[in-house]
Amino acid sequence: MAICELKSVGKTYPLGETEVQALRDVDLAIEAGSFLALAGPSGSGKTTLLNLVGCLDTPSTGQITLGGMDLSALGAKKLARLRAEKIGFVFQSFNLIPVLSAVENVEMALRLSGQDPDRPRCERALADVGLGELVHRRPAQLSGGQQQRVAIARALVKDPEIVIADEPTANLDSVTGGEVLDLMKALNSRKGVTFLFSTHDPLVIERASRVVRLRDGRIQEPNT
Amino acid sequence: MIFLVRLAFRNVLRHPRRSLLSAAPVVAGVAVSILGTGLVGGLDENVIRAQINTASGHVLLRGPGVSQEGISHEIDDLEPLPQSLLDRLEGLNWTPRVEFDLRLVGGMDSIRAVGVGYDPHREEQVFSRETQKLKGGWPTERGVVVGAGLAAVMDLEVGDSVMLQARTSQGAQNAMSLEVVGLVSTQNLAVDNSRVFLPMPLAEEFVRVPGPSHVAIRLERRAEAKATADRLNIPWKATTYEEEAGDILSINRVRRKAISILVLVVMGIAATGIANTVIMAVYERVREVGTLLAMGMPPGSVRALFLLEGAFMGAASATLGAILGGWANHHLSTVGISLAGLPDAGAQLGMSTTLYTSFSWWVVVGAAVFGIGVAVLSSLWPAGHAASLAPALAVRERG
Repeated sequence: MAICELKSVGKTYPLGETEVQALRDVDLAIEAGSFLALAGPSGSGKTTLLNLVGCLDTPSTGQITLGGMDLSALGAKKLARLRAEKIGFVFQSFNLIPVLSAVENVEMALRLSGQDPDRPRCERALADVGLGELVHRRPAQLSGGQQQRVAIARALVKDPEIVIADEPTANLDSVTGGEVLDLMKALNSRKGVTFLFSTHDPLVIERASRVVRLRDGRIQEPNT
Repeated sequence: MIFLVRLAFRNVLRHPRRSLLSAAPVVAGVAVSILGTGLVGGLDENVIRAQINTASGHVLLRGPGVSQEGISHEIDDLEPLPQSLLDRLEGLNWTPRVEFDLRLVGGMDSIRAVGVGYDPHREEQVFSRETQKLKGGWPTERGVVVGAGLAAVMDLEVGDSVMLQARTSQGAQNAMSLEVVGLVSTQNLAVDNSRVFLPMPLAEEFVRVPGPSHVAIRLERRAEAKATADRLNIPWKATTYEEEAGDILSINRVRRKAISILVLVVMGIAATGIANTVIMAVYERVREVGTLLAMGMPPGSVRALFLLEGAFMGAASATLGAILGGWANHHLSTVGISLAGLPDAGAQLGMSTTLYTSFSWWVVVGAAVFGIGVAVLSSLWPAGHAASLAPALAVRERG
C-alpha cells in the first residue's frame, strides 16, 4: 500500500526573469515501510522532491497524496500541522536546537505534534538510538554521529508516517555514516516506519529497499 | 507556552555579553526617565513649597495698582484694606504685608533690595517660622531682619547698623538707620537674597502708606487656592501660588519636555540596539528557525519566540534601570541636593536651597513598563521576519 503518491507532479521556480523547472511530470508511489533512496546528481530535483513529500513546499502542477490526503488542497497552517504530526525530518547538518539537551530536543517534537511530552518516552527513544546515557547532553557536547542519532530519535518519537532524510550521512565519516544507516534500517524493520532519503552516498544506496534515480527533474529508472 | 518561554530565555543567555550591551541603553533610558521625572517633579514641588511657605501663601492679594511683574513695588496709590475685603477674609488665615523697593546701605556698601513690612501678630498664620533658620530674633517694634544671602553679600552680622533708603508714597526720599536684629534663611533663594524684613507699623511709617500692599492667605489644601482666589479677586487682584510661581513652573515644563526628548532619544537608541540584536539572532539562527518551522511550529509561535527574547532583554534591563533610577531618586528624595552653592545667576530663583526629588512608585513601574514595551516593539519586525522564513530554504541554510 502506498503511503504517498505523486501524480504528474511538476515544480517550477522563478529565477530572475526566467523559470527553472526543478521537477517534470513525476509519478511515484512510496510504499509504506519502504526504505527508499532518491539518487541523482546535484540539481536533479532530489531536494525538491523531498520538500514536496515533506510538505515543506507545494507542487506547481500535479497531485500529491500523503496517507490518502491531497496535499495540494491544504494551506500553510494545515501543512505545518501535517508536518508536526505525520512527518519526521533528519537533516544533513543534524539541525538540533543547541540550547536544548538531547532529551529536550526529542521532547520538542512531541510538543509540536500535539502529543504529551512524556519524558520517559523521549528517554526510551534516545535509548533506542543508543544514547540512553547521554540524554542530558547538549548538541555541542555530542559527536556528529551522536547528534544525528538524536535527530533520528527526534524524528521517530512521535511515530510519524514517513521520515524524510536529506543526505543524512553527508557530514559523517563512512564508519559513523554506516552505523547511523544501520540504525535507521533497523528501526525501519522493527517499527515499519517509511524512510525517504535523498543521497549521493553509496552506503545509503546499497541499504535502500528501492532506489529512484532522478536526472533533470525526471525519474530515470525505478530500481528495486 | 512554557516551552517557548524556556527556549527564549535560554536563547537570550546564548550571547550574554551581546545581550548586556544591547540592554545597556534600556537600563540608562529607564533610569534617566525615573531620575529626570523625579528631578523635575521635585523642582516643581520645591518651587511651590518655597512659594507658599515664604513668599505668597496659597493666595496672594495685591492692592490696586500693585504690579505682579518685575521688582517694582508701586505704593503710591495704596489705600487701607477695604471693609468688604476684610469681611470676606473672615475665617481665613491671612497676614498683611507692605512691600517696597529700598536701598540697603551697610558701611561702604549698598545694594538694591525689597523691604517687607510684616504684621508680627499675624505673620505666622501664613508663613511658618519652623522651617526657617533665624540667627538673632524677629523685631516687634524697631530693627530689621536681613535675608541670609543678602547679609552674606553685605557682610552683615546681628548687631550691625544699616541704613534703609526708600521713596515714600508721596515721592519723597526717606532714610532710616536700624539695627540688624536677625539674619534669616527661609529656604527660598529669592527671598534670602533680596528681602529685608521690618515690622509693619515701622514700614508704614517709613514709606508713608496707609495699609498693606499685599495680603497673603494660607489655606488647608492647595486645591482650594483657585476657588478662593476667584472669590476674593475684587476689588484687590488675587493670584494663586501657581500663578505667582508661573515663570519657574513654565521653565520646569520646558525641562520636563527636554527630559522627555532625552529619554526618547535614549530609548530610540535602545530600540535600535535591541532590534539589531534580535535581527542578528534571526540571521544567525535561520537554519534553527527553519527546523522549528519544518517540525510544524506555527509561524505565530516563531514570532512569539523572538518577541519573548526581546521582552526578556527588555524586562531584565528595565528592571535594572528601575532599580538604579528608583534607588537614586528615592535617595535624593530623602537626602536632597544642596543648591546653596548656586552661582549668582541662579540666586533669584524662588525655590528651596535643598532640592528634594519627587519619588513615585507609579513612575518607577511606568518607566519599567515603557522600557519593556520599547524592547518588545523593537523586536516586532525581526520576529515577523523570522516567522515569514520559508522552511524549505531555511533548513538548509549554512550556519
